Amino acid sequence: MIPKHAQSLPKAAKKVWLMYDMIALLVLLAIGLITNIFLKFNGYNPLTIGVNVLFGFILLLIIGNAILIPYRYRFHKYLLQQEAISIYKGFFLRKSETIPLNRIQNVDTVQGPILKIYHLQNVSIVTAAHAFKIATINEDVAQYLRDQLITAARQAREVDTDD
Amino acid sequence: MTDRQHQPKIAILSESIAVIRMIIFPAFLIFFKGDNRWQMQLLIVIGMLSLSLIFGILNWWFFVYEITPHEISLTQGIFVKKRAHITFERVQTITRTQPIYFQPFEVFKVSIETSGKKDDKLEFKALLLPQIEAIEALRKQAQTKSSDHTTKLVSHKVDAQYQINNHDLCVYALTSLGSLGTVGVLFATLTTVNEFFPKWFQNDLDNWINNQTFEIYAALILAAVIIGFFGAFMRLYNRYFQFTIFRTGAHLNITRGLLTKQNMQLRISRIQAIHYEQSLLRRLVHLVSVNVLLASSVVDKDDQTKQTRIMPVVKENETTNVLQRFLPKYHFLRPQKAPTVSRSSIYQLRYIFVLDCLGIGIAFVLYRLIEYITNMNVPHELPILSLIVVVIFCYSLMATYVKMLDQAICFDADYLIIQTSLSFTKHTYFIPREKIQGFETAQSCFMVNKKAQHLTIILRDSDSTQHVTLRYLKQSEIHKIENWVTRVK
Repeated sequence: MIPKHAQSLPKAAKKVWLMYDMIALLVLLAIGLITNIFLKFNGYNPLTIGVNVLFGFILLLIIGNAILIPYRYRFHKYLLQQEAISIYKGFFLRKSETIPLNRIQNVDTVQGPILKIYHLQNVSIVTAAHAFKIATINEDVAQYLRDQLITAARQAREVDTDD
Repeated sequence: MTDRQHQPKIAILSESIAVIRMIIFPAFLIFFKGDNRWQMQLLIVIGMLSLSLIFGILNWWFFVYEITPHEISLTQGIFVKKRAHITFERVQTITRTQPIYFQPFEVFKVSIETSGKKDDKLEFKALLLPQIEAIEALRKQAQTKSSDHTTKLVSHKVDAQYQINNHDLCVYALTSLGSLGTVGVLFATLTTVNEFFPKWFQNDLDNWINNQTFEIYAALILAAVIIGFFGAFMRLYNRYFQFTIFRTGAHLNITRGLLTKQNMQLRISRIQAIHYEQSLLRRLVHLVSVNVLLASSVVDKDDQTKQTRIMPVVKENETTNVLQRFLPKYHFLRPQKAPTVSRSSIYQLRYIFVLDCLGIGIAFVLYRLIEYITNMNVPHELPILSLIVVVIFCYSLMATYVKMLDQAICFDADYLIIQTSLSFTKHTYFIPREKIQGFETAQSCFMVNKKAQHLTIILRDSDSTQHVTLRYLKQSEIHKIENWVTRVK
């Protein structure tokens, strides 16, 4: 399903995703600790049990997400063609999303502190109806992609209908 | 064109009513739950009215607008100033609404929407008819293109007109299932209001209800359904009374309403898609409702629907002929049965069956947990639970089977037509190619060998997104659609 010439994300993306998961894990542990201090670590209180079960469930989700990083990375690709841009995700559940270039309204690039360390950026492609994100790509590729998309969208719009 | 000006003074009434609506609930609470002396209650009423009048006047005073040939701009807000400018070229719809209390003054509430998101619209609390007509004329002028003159889309005469007759309106109201919702609203209102009654009255009412026979309960439920049905009928009759749509050149004009009159104007090319809707009841009597998806934040405040109805009800076999007069560029082709893989219905039924089992399993575990914690004892538990499970399975599997039968698609050079159904309601979309914002495909690893994929078309609907999905299509057919959508026009 994924075309052979689709682009992979840079390898640093795996490190960034792992850092995101670590931060989420630390935040969850901190909240869990504070909540248990308020609940006085009372193991017989149904509220304490309920809250800890919930935290445990979220913890498993975060750990699962971290374990699946190599899988997500392997099957996360994008492809810029002459008339459309596509993004592909997943192997067990394969999803693709495509936007014709002449529907693009604007292209935003976002770079948080972690992305900055690894010289990566998120590119957000916005249409009249929704936004579509290519996460964690190299700064120069993001800039190139942004220029390409805007140029292509402008050319396409010149031959587009009104409205 | 004009200097900065205020709205007509009648806008103070509308502003005051808006403030009353905002503070009525807390005032209601204080009125009934606070000091019960009549002097205090009178003071609360006077205070509420004075407050709303003061804020009404202030809101009116700080609302100033200016119209130039190219744009309309306004400044509003007492503490937080909001300035907005909208060029007439970008206007998607102009909606004027006339509540019953505005009818003697010949003024209208006006909402001007663009394709921006929620906050990107101008709302006037009251404008005189000549002022509105001037705005509408400027919009038309700004949106009339030179190509319109050559293609004869500039016209001041009415090219097509349709007005709903009383018989059709009654059929529409009768085939609406809104009555069940009305019963729910009635019940919720009664429960809320009950809390404000004196304790002795609440106790007497509870006693009376608890000591009735089965026949009385049945009669009460029947009465509630009849009242709900009548309420829903009147609501729809009021909303679509004298519903009229007419086309002048490239613009549509829709008027409707008995107590609250509404008028909407839009340019046809701004329509994102045409949507036929056919509930189970209307399928049986071969009637269709027609909506349009617009790229503006226009919302029907009565039922919070985002889509704009352009034909409340029309006979199924006449739909194309009637609509073609209003939307001459549209191709109303009949979609062909979707090119699904063989046994697609079985795959979808199996998927829904597994989902049902999962949902019911989780619900059952939660129910047992609550039962254990609260020591709850439900009489006839097994038959009731079994009945619920059977109803859920039957409903979801039948709806899924109908959905798979209803799936249809076709496209020509300019239009994509997709038909699907949800909970027995059939939806058909006629989508111009340039209005498709994108598409998604999904495929589980079990579908790879069958070469099947789900296809979702993404459309703009109001200020959000509409996803239209067809399930278990042949991969090769999806590639054809992908190529067709991405081909730059």
